[in-house]
Amino acid sequence: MGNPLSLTTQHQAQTNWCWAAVATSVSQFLDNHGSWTQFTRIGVRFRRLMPTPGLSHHRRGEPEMPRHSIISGTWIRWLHVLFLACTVASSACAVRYAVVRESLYRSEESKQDRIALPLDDKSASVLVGLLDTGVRRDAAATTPNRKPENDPIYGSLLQALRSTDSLDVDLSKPGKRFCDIAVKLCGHTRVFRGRPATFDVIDARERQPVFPYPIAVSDGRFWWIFYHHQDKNGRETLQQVLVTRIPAKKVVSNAPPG
Amino acid sequence: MHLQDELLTNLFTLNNGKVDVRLVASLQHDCIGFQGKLKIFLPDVHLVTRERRTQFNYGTNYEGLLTNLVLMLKQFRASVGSANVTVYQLGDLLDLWRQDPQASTQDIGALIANDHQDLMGAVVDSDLATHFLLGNHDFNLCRFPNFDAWAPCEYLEDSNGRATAIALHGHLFDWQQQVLNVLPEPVKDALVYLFAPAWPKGTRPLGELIALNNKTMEQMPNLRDYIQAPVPVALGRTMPARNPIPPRFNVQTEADQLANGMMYAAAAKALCENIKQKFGTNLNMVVIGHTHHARIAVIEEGADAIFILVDAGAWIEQYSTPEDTQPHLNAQIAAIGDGMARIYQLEG
Repeated sequence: MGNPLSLTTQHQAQTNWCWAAVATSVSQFLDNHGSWTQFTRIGVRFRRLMPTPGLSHHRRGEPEMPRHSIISGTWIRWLHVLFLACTVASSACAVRYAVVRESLYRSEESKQDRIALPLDDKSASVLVGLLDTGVRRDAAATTPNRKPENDPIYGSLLQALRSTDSLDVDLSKPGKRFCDIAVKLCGHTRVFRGRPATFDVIDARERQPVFPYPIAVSDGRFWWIFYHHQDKNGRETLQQVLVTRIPAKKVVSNAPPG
Repeated sequence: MHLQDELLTNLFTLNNGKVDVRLVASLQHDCIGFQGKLKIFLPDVHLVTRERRTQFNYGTNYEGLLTNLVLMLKQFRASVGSANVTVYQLGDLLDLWRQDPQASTQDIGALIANDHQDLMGAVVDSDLATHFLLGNHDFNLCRFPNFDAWAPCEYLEDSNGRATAIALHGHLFDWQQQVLNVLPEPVKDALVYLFAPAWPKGTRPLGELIALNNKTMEQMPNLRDYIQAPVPVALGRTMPARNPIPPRFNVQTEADQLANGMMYAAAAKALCENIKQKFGTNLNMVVIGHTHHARIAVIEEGADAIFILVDAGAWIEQYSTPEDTQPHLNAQIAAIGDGMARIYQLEG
């Protein structure tokens, strides 16, 4: 694998501005003396459509964005920037989803092997072995068993997953964060704190999306995909979990927050 | 016994045989085709979360009955051969418009579905293999992987593999869409170019527009009381489906129609003519939901030339009939096959 690009990704300044953030990041990468910002980019793109914070200076009589930067001299380079931006933005702007990886990088060979919740001694031990190896099942088999609750990162989570009381989830209100849904579980662990949840799980083993749609949350290294069930009294609980490794380019840090 | 009658027999078994099945409309015609096949259409359901439901004066009708219907269709499909029966959901299964203002930015569809696990579990069952169409109240679902296989429309092929009909939600025929459709693209571009800058100061930045849109919907006072029908729609007379089904019953025509009985028929016919002009495909039937007004409307131009609009109705809002002054809850399905189109009303 070649050397990674030293591209610094900008966070989007406003909702739905991911494409502008990507475009600005790419343009800064190609020309680090460039003066483009997300606001000027949005302003030029939508100059005729609607006022934006970045364009407010036009109304105050300040100089307009030089048109030659778009339509003359450097247009080929900007076309290049646009092409790159569109390519990257097509993935960056997509809805967040979790992908179940190939069997080597997930916690189960088949659905029949799925880890049931609450965890018992054996499944907790298997899970911590997998986590130690970055969810590589071939390596996990050689990892000696040890006490899951002593794991410095995931110990509290594994401990919480052993208790039925921690498995209640509340899906009655829309919440972006996993901890809005699994309040009790998050009360015992910081692993998922601030992490968004998604119900969009792509598992190519399935004929179609599984219903009820599982709840997926990433800790930065792994997707934790929780399968849930509602009993006759309306109580929603986590029933099973699948842990799968996030593809390397998506890894944002080596350790979960906190 | 042909598939239409087999379906009807199965409908009578719903809710342990306590369901009242009434015929809303029927039409038998050579142009309908689909011999030996049956296409069943589930119209608008408009599910919202349980919590959200309390904020409206109406909601999905007979959800338990609908769940039983869908479970029955799965069995029916298995018993007569899955290749012979196709189930379509005509859009607006989930109602994102009436959900929270953040509806467009979260996978709210999963949350609504979670509050209706029995119904949703049945309707997304892989053995039923429902064909889902997107409606105007749930078109945003196409952004999410769980729903991105849902389509805006689907051509219906006859036994010879030729498309003879099209199924779509029906909002394409709303006046807003029709106005936009008559304008050529350059004109639309020019209008945006000329008038968009005239928007007043304080116009929201891009990211807030979706939320603003939803907030506007939220403030629409009538959405608390109805979506499409401020008063119960006029279905005309209905008849018990246990009676012999007539070849033509309660069919709307230009000459003989109920209030709004021909709504969208001309626009649907124009769509078919447009498709014929562009692709050479000869369509003579359009199946829609959207209006919450179950009916079969035809435009006849000679003995053989006929255009048919089948509106499958809804599972929300109400209808009225001449034989009963009391409004009833919409709970309709449409079935097309064996050269016949039928719409049934279920109750119980």
